[in-house]
This record gives sequence, C-alpha cells and structure tokens, in this order.
Amino acid sequence: MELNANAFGRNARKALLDKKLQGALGRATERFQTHRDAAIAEFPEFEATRERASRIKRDVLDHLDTYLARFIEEAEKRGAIVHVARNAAQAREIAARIARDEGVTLAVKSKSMASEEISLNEALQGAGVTVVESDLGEYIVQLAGETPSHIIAPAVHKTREEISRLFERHLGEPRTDSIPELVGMARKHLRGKFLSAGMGVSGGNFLVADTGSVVLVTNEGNGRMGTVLPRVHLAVVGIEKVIPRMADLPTFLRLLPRSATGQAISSYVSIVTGTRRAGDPEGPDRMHILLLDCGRSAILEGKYREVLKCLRCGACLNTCPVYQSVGGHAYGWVYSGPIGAVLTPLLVGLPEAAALPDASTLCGACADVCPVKIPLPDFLLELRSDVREQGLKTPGEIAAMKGYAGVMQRAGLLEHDHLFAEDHQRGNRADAEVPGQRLLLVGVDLDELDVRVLVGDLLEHRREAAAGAAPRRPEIHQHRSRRGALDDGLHEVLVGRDDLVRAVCHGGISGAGRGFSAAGRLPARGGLGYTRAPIAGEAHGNFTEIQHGSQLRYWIARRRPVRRERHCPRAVDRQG
Amino acid sequence: MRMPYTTGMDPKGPIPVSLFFTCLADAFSPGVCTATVEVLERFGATVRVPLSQTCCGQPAFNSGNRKEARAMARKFLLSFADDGPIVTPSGSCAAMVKHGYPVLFRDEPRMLDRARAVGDRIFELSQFLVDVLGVTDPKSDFSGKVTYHDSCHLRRGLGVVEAPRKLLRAVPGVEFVEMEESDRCCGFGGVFSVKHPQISCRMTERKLERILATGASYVTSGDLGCLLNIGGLISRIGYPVKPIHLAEILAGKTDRRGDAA
Repeated sequence: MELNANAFGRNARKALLDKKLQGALGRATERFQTHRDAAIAEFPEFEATRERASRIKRDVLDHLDTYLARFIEEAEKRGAIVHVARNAAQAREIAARIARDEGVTLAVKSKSMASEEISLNEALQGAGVTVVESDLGEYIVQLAGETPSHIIAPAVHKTREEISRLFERHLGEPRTDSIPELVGMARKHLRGKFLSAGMGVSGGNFLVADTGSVVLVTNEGNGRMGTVLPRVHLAVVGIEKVIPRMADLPTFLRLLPRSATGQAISSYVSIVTGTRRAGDPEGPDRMHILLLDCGRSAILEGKYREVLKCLRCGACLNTCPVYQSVGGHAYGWVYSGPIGAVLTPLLVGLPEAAALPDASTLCGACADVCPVKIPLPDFLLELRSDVREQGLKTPGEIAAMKGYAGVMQRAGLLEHDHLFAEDHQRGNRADAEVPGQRLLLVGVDLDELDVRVLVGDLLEHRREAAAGAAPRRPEIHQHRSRRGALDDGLHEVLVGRDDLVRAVCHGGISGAGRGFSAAGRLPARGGLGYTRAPIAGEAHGNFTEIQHGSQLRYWIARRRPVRRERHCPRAVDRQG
Repeated sequence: MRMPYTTGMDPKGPIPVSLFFTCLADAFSPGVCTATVEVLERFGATVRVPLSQTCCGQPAFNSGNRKEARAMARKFLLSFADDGPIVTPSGSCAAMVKHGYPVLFRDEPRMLDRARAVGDRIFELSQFLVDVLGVTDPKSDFSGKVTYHDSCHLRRGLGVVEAPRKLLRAVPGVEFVEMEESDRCCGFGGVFSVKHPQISCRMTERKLERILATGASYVTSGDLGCLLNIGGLISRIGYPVKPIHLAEILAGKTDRRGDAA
C-alpha cells in the first residue's frame, strides 16, 4: 500500500471537511464502541482474561523463535507448505511464485491487513491473477479503487448511497438504499467467483504452534468458503500471530470479538489445519502459509516489543477521539488509529512516518480498551522522543522547546496571593534563588492609569536610580489586555530585558484588597504582579524589590465580575 | 487517614503541604491556586509555596523533547525537595511527576530514587482532600448547576474518578449533573492542540455539545488545561456556561466573585 503517513496533518484536515465521511465515521465508531462497552460490561472476567492473554502473548514474544519453529514443524507435518518472507518484496515474490506454480488465474481473498502491508493484490495481479476481495467491506473498497480505512470495517467511511452507486456502475445493479438488498447483490456476484477461483487467500488471526493450525475469526463466512472451496489456500500471516497451544485459543476468542464488534463470539471461527485428508468432506488440496517478518523481528529486539501482542481488533481505533474525527485514511498506511500511530513508524521506519506519533492527545483511552494491554500512550511518547533523537524534528520546534526550558528554568512563580505571602511573613525565607537576584513587585492601579505609562514610569525611575547597571535595564516589550478565554479581567505586562524576556505580570482588576504592600500604600483598586528580574535599584513608589533573604508582603488581588458585553463583542452579536 | 509519609509529624498538628502551582495556573489563572490554598487551610493544612517552582516539564516530555523535560524535572525536584505532601490543582501535572519523571530518569539511578520519592508525595487536590484528609464535606457555599469533565490524566493517569464527584455532591448549593462521555478527551492534549488545531477543535466541539446538553451553568474539572481549552471555545461562541476549576467551587468563590451564572 502506498505510504503517505507524514502527510497526516494535511490528510486529517481534508477528512475533517468531508461531511459524508464525518457522518459515516461518527455512526460506525459509535456503534462499535457502544457494542464493545456493552459486551465487556457483561463479561466480568474481562480484566482477568486480558491479563492472561497479555501474559501468553508476552511469553510468545520472549520465545518467538521456539514457538515459530514448532508451528512450522506441525503445519508441515499436516501437509502445509510454509514460506517465510523477510520483507515485503520477498513476500510479493513468494506469493507470485506460488500463484504461477499452482496455475492460478482467479483468486478470492478474505480480509487481511497483513496482505495490505505487502501489497499482495498487486503482486498477484502481476503474476496474471485476478484477485477478488470477498469480504463485503473489502469488496466495496476494491470496487471503489480505494484502500481500507479501518482494521475490521474497511468500508466504514462509505455511505450506503455511495455503495449503491458503486454497485450500479460496476455490477449493473439497480439503485437501492436497502442494506439487505445491497448485501444480496454482493453475495450473488461473489458466489460465482468462489466456485471458479483456483486459490483462496486469507490472513490469519492466530497460528497455533502445537497443532500447526491457522485460525480465522470472521463474520461473513467468506473466509471459510475461500479456504475450503478453491483447490489452493494461501494464508498470509505475520510471525507474531503465533500462540503456544490450542488450549490458549479460547482466551483470545473471548477477547477478540468482544473488543472488535461487541459480539460474544463471531459468526465463524475457522480452524484450518493442514490440507484435506482422506475422508475429509472439504478442504484445500494444497495449503501455503506465508509468514511475514517485514520488520517484526527488528521490533522484537527493541523497546517496543509489546506492540507485537496486537490482535488487530480495532478497539483502540473506535475509542480514539482522533480516529473518530479523521478516520483511517488520514494515517496514510495500512494501520490507523493509535495502533497505526505506533506500528507504522516501526514497520516502515520512523523517518517515513514521524508525523504519526503526534496524532494523539495522549488521552489514554486506547490503553483502557486494549485487550492485550499494549501501553500505546507510553509508546507514542517514546516514539516522539525517538523522533527528536533521530534528528527528525523541525528546528523551529527544538528552538521553541529550548527557549521554553531556558526561560522556565530561570523563572519562578509569576504571581502570589496573600495566602502565600502570609507564609513568608511568618518568617520563611524569601525565595529569590540566588544572592543578587531580585524580585520586582509592581502594583498597578489599572483604573486610573494606563498600565504602560505606569510601568514605563516606574522603570524610567529605576534606570535613573541604577545608572551604573544600564546593560541590565529592564524594558517593556509588550502590553496587552487579555480578553476572551478566561474573562477574568486580567491585564498583562511583559517585563524583561531586551535579550531575555522573562516573565508575564498580571494585574488583576479588583476591589479593595485585604493586605498591604511593603511599599506602604494600599491601592484602592489595585492588582499585583511581580516578576523575578535580576535588576539593581531601590524601592520606589508603587513597587518594591525583594532581595535574597528578605521578607515578602503582598497586595491582594481580587477579580472583578466578568463583563462579557465588553470583552466578547461576538457574544453580543449573537444575542442581538 | 494519615498516610505513611506523615510519620514523624505531630498527629494533631497542622499538616504541612507544599503547593505545586503549575505554570498554567501561574500564567493564566492564579485564582485557582488561591482557592486551593483556601481549601487546604480550611482542613488544617499549612501551605508552603516554593517560589522557585515553574513548570513540571510536561510540554517538553509530551512532545518528545526529553532533554529539556529533564532540565525542568531537575528544577522541580529541587524546588520540592522538602518532606511532606505536595498538592496541586492539576491531575495532569501530578501524573507527569508521578509517571513521567521515572521515565525521564530511568538511566540515572540516584535521580530515579528522588523522582520516585517525590512521585509518592504528590497528590491532586481532590485526591488529597478525600483520600488523605478524609474530607467528606468541603464546607463550600458555592451554588449553581455543575457538570464535571474527567481530565484524561487525572482519571487514567492517577485513577481519580470518584473523589471530585464526592466533593461536588457534598456541596449543598451544587446541583451536580453528569454529562455523557465525561471521560472523553476534550481535545487539548497540550502540544497536540498546537500541532493539530483543527482536530483538537472538532473534539472540543463534541465535548461542548455534551456539556450544553446537561443544562449546567458551570463545567468544572481537575485540570486547568482542559478548562482553558473548553473555555476558549465557549468564549468564542458565547454559550451560557462557564468553565470553573474544581478548587474554585470547593473554595466557594461564586458569591465573592459576584459571577452571574
């Protein structure tokens, strides 16, 4: 599948503007989520089961070589031919060779994300094979010439109207908005393909090491039909899908459908074990299992090993507010949502998908629902750190972060209220950090004076008083009144040296205060603000300076009631 | 209930608490911390405010800039090197100290020990009131219809779900009403809202819809970040609901601020 992960931002903005997509996404993810939550609520053993599943998977990953060897041995014992592909190119080559050797011209395929990873369809088409997707959603996506947008619901972004139009154009069916009729049309057209196909292609939800079985969890029956009707069965599965024993399967079957669709069990669970034996009523004569490494063994060696526990249930997609907002295509590759944001960079290389780890608010909803407890938010954080370590962040972001850290390291609190001041009045030390560092306390009577004039005047005086220290003269860089978000009547003054903007002062507009200033005057309507500024000079008028070791006293600022009509002209427009 | 870290303290004496102001409150809404101090003092705490404190480093940590985050974390650990509980009116910042610092210092055993020790001492306000001080009645005179937004890091990071609700329900003047999807992210996500403002805004719109559906006059939360984010949209659109921090409700600020609901 074509990779476009670094365009996440652009893709996402496009998706946000797509009204039809928004409607379809909202309905589908909400339905999945509601069903999933209800199924989990009726399953009190959920926590214990996911703990067990997580433990089994961890054990598998710790000894993947052993379990894989066992799986290959058992599968081959039962007549399957097992291939292992190191990368996508090799996988395509193997698949094409299988198709050619088996003389296949038509293949029916059931849903498989792994096959999307290696662009299997293109490979088979290159070998002269017509590939028909037989999962309803995948079929729709294939007719539309698109790619799946959800792990388990590939056509979740399509409306029924769009689907009917597709069926009209490609299958010559009449238009309808009845879903059962649409399903009937697809079934009719697909049935013939099933009967004439030489090869059925499937993915695999689990590989059972002690029996050599490939387990398929599906709802439409196409998976089973595709693995028993055609002469050849090709299963394309990632190496991490192995589980130790058949006895472990129920643990996972309890979790997967519940997490995926909210079903207690899926309509079909097919366990395909080797080729058709004498006396078997059905089954493939030839079975190929194509195991994909494709970057997985590299993940196994690193700090993201646990991501390979993933069952591909899609629960993290459905619950993710970012996925819900932008859909799967925005993520620009096979896997989307939180798992895609982690897995894609690991599979395709961080430089190719460095934008994806940022596609999350780190709200943690994904970790809550993951049936195998993958620490997705931790991994997203870790990947963001890797982005920086590997030099993939923009110089602007790094500069901003350095600036922020620099300022914050030198700064202290911006404003204190009387309650803290009392603490200091009781004899605690003043918190100027180092000797020679001073705190500048500025009282601003905002109702009477323009704050620029007042503070400007103040600082003029300071300069005169401290002529010798001119290089460290503070200057006012900016003054603005804050409006909007908080509506709390705060006025800000930014005070700082030319080369070092240091802090923001607040002057809360208030009624009478309850405290008093060290300078001795209580402003009738005053606020307070101070900044930590390494400047020299003496106390003057309406401000004071606190040196290391001295005691602090404060004015009290109280807030004036919000006057929305003054601060929010647009709100007034609405009311008018 | 007295937690293990309080050993050695006079069991009947005042509880010395360090206030972690948080840079957001410091820059945008210092009244939240005034309120926090009021509430803490109401229940017998003496509050110390290390003035050298600034930001816990979460913006840097969350954006993957760990070098800068570590520098901030070191400063934090210095500012709060004293004993006793650290209380903050922010679930997100507390979660950063508790869970983020050990990650930052995982390769520095000595710092890691200090980070863990400080992590054990930090509490979000409602968590501290309910779980440590055993407060059942916050003694607040606040009145109004209030709905509560679960901040992601307070709920999922610290596991604090019931404490703020218990406190809100115990205020006689508060008519508490749950919103749907109260635990759904409001879209802020710190740097996320800077990098992906459009997605962030879409998420906030959905949050605001849920808030408005409750008919509440106030939306409250344990994190200023969420409230700034939600409040930003509210003020742009001009809806009749007001963001207010949990600490301000517990302090009973309505009357004195004279805010019309």
